[in-house]
Order: sequence, then C-alpha cells, then structure tokens
Amino acid sequence: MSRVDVPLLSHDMRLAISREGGFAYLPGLAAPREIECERLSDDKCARLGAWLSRLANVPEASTTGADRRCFRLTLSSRRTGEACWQRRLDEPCAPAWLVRLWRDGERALDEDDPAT
Amino acid sequence: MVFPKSPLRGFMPPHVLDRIAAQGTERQRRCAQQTLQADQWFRLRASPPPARDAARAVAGRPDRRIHSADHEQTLPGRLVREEGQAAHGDAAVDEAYEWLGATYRFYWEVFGRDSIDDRGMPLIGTVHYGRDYDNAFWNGAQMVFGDGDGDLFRRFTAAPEVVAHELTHGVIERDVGLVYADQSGALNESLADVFGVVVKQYHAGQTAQEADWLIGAALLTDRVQGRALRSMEAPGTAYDDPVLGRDPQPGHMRDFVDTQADNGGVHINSGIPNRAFYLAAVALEAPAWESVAPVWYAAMRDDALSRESDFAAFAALTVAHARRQHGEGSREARAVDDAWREVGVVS
Repeated sequence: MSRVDVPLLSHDMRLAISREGGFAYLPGLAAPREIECERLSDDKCARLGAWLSRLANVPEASTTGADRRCFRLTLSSRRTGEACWQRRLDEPCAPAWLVRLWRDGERALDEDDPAT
Repeated sequence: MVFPKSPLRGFMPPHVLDRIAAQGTERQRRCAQQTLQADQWFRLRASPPPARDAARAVAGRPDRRIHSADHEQTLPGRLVREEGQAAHGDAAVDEAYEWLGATYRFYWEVFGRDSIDDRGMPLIGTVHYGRDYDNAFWNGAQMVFGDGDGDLFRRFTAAPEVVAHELTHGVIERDVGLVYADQSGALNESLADVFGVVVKQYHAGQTAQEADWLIGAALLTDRVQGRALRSMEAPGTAYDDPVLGRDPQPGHMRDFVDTQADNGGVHINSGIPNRAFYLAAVALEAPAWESVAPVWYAAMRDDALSRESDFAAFAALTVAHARRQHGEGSREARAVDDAWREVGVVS
C-alpha cells in the first residue's frame, strides 16, 4: 500500500496524531492524540476520511535540518494494533484541521473545514 | 504492516512537488516550494557553495541577515537588519543578530572557521516565526526562532546557547552530516549543545567551573518548574513540571533510552555525550574553548567520523585527538578518556 493512499476508514480503526521534534523532547507534550473511529458518527467518520485523503498532496516531512517539528499520523487496527497507514508532515505544511484535530481531538470534527 | 523502528524517511519526488507547487492550494504550494528549495539546496551541498557577496566579503567578519516572519510560517520573511546596521529596537531581531555574531566570532577566533561553511556563508536568521511558537530550528539553509507562547516559553533568541546550537547544526551538516536519528542523531544534538554552551562561556569569559552548563535556562517562564531544558552537568534534572513532564535525559549508557520517539531519542540520549564533555571540561583548569572544545572540534572534522557514527566511535576519536593535541600522557588526554569511561561509553 502506498503511504499516500488512505485506507477506507472503518469503526475498527484508531488514528494517532503526534507532534514530534523540536529543540527539546518534552514528555508531557509528546503523548499522541488518539481518535477511535468506533466513537464517531458515520458523518464524522466520513469527514475524517475525506480530510485524510486531502493529505495526498502534502509533501512528506523533509529530512533536512535539525530540531524541526512534524506531525506523525498513524492509522491502525484497534483489534490487532497493526498500523496500516502512516504519514509524517512538516509542521508548516500541516493543514489547520490537522492542528485542531491534534489539539482538540474529535471535537474538531464538529465543524466542517474550508479547503486547505 | 509493521513499521521499522526508525521513523519513516519521507521523500516526495521533485516532479510531484513541482505539480503541487503549480496546482495545489495556497498552503500546499507554499510547502512544496519550501520543500523544493530545501531539498535542492541539500542535494547541491556537496558542490561548492554559492560565492559570498563580494561587496561584503571579509574573512573574519560575519554577514548577518535577520528577517521577520511577521508571525507567519513563510521563510525567510522580511529582511529587517543586515550586517553593520544599527540596532533595530526589536528584542528578537537584535538578540538574533548579537548571538549569531557571537557564534561567528567564536568559530573564527578559536578555530579560524569562516562561518557555517568556512567560506563566509551568510548567517540567515528569521524571528517572529509563527504565533506563540515554542521552538527554534535549522532548516538546512537558515536558522528560525519562535517567540514562545509566553506561558511556558519565552522567545527562543533570549538564550545565546540556543542560537549557537542552531548555527552549529549547520556546521555539523557541512562537516560530517551526522544522520539525524538514533545514536548518530543524539551525537549531532550533543555537538550542537556542546558548541552552543561553549559559545556562551566564551562570550561571557567563563571558566568551566563558573559556567552553569544549562541549555535554554533563559527560555523558561517562572511558571515552569525547572531550571532549563537540559543540563549537561546532570542530565535528567533540568525540569520536572506538571505540563512538560520530567527531563528524560540519561547521563550514563546503562540508562540509554531505546525509543522510536524523538527520531530515536536524539534529544534524549544526547545527555550521555553532553555529560562526557562536561566532565572532561571541569577536570581541566583552562576554559573549555582552550581545553576540550578543540579536541571535540577536531574529532567532528575527522574523516574517520562517518554519517552514522555512534558514541563509541566519536569517543575514540576524541581520545586520539586529545593525545595528538596535548601529548600521550597529558592531563587533557586522561581527562577525555576518564570522562567517556565515567558515562559508560568506554569500558
């Protein structure tokens, strides 16, 4: 599976979003935000899937430099724990909805998102 | 699918980036353009760097160019202070200018090095990056500083060792290109801390015994329960805060943290070589820039150091260079050897 092809979301899936990198590793701020698809309505699940599919056009995080921050997104099966999709995006490239999703969790799915 | 321990190494082919740069949304275009610029620069770095500006080219004098991102995340931003211009009045602008100058002076006066590439490369810094931005970084071509959120962090230009740390990442990239993951990445981080803190000591005229050996002390607000972001003297003791958590740095190989986070613990395990440098420096009377910093610098530039070198390989090179610079049975050579033994890198 190509990393830019987002799998069809199912209620078995869990999305983990973590913000990584930076000048220092701060354990209190490093915990990933986890969103359980099982807890989402069908509408919200569809919205999340649509947002994730937009990431196909966002470049993968650059490997140049140091102390840069990025967002890591991992979709995995809640049942097996196995990851099926993963992306790393440079912080400045992260769309606003992704930052809200990381900061506020599934509440961010309450509002629709303008194209970013 | 099982992912490897190391983070996925991202790469998007240039033709895809070109397509995004031409057809994507505004944000996607901006990101793709910046990625293209950084990647092109990175690929070209084996070639001779661009000639310095002949009009201002004087070896031994920096060529500083400070920009403001005006709270956006577009680089380099608006040029606000160039070399030789009077103070701007904006604290972040003037701190970036001053500390980049102090770092240049250190590398020139101590090692005879003319800027990041040793060929007079302009020192490009951007301040006021993003909003409430709690970070500073080196993007492969320039240094970038956030203002901090004011709640936990102050502006990242406030600490000279942080500015020198970021510039040193450029030096490391040119000299050895240590891979930014796992032990080589932690060594990369440690070297940036080592020269960052020695720049601060050199500027202040401090001996190793007088120095605080803290990284980022000036960045933390009074609300944070901690002294700094890292302590080279006592890794793992810099902070213990309800929001930030507890400083995770080990100071000995027996406590080495095997993790996928933080690019394989680059800012975590750097505590081990950081402490080795501290121990060697305080064991000697001369200031660190005269005693062990030249040893570390020579080891960093040694052709035997590879992009994926680990702590042990670097330790062996520092011991060899200490003997070469100071003599086989010298106090300096013994101090360096003892320091690596004390942190468990050499047994």
